[in-house]
Amino acid sequence: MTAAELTYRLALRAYPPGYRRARGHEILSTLADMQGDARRPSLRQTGALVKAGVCERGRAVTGGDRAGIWAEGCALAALVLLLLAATGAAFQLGWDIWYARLGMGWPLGGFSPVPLEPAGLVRVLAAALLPWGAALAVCRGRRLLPLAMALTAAALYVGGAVGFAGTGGYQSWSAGQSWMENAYQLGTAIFLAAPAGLLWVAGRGRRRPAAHRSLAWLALPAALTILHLASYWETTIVFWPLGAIMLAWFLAGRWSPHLAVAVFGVAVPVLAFVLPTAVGAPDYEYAVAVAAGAATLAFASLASALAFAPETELDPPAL
Amino acid sequence: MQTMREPTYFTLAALLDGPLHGYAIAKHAEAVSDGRVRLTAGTLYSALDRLLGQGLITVDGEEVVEGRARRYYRLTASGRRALQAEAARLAGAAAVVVSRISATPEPAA
Repeated sequence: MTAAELTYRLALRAYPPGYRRARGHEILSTLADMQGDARRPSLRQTGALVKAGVCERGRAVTGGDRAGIWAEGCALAALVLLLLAATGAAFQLGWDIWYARLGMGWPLGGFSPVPLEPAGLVRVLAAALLPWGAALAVCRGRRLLPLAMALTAAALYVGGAVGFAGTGGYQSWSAGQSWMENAYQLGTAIFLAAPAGLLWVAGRGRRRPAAHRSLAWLALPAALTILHLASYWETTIVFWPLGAIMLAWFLAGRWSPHLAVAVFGVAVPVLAFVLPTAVGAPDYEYAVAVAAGAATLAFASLASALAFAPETELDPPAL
Repeated sequence: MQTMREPTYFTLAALLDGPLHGYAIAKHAEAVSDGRVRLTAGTLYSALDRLLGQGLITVDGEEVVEGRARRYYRLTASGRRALQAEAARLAGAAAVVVSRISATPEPAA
């Protein structure tokens, strides 16, 4: 096998497996004809192959029409947000249980031990596991069930049933506190309500079955969680690999509109979530950033969809 | 009727003379467009898929020659009509300029 053939075979993997089985041999044959006597793979051919493959994947998932692009783009954005929420929740749960069991303070500062009675533990467990369950349900093509799960988890934070281990001990939502003191709980609730909103859009007026996604989507957050709990990594640092993946999606979004909708839908609240915590901003800045992120989300998604709207030849797949 | 992109237009134009396989379509499109349309395999097959989906072309047969798979594509009646309509539109757009350009004075540089 020549270097060119190997390169094109690898690039062909950008296409969905079914498409590759049906057309792969034909495309490789045409590429061999186009290649002629040249030994080195053409960058132009390779790039075009990857681009067409990503587009084909997009079409296979969305059906290629505007409604499908929006539905699947929003579902994808919701999935990523849920996975981020799930990762954060698992980190928090790990710390909470660890320090409650040992009855010792937070290692990074003079934090109080986390009091957890059995009923509280059930609530904390529910809040931590619901985002994982919701993400799993999205992967299985469900829309309403994960919406309900995300909203339930959000309600647990806003309802004061669960909270965070923070500088003042275990802090849960309290109506008696100022909104600034409730900022973390409010921020988390918004972080969970955003995917619920996206799932509502994804499930609305659905004309084709929702796409199923590989459970491998859960693998990265799960691995990060285990790594984090095992290594005492600073929480905000472990979010950056996810950021890198989102950057890759942004690049892919240039070719596949539904990915672009997803990326914009995700990137803004993620930046709002990560940046203030990374620079150690006070609570109110965090809350303002999350609120601004949520407000920008709708605008950015819309702008992204409009930017890709001139794709007049975006039609359903032929085969 | 949507306007066609240039690769789509020349892909259809390549099939006017009869069924062709992918590589021949790309060669033909390049020739009839004076080298402007240089289709890559990726864009060629995206265009072919779209045209198949729209019923403007159809598969005319398959064969394997020296280990290489060849699938032949043929223009359908509606493909021929779409191509004709697009050519008329382009001719109309060109006529707007061609008929008046010589009658109007060249602006000062």
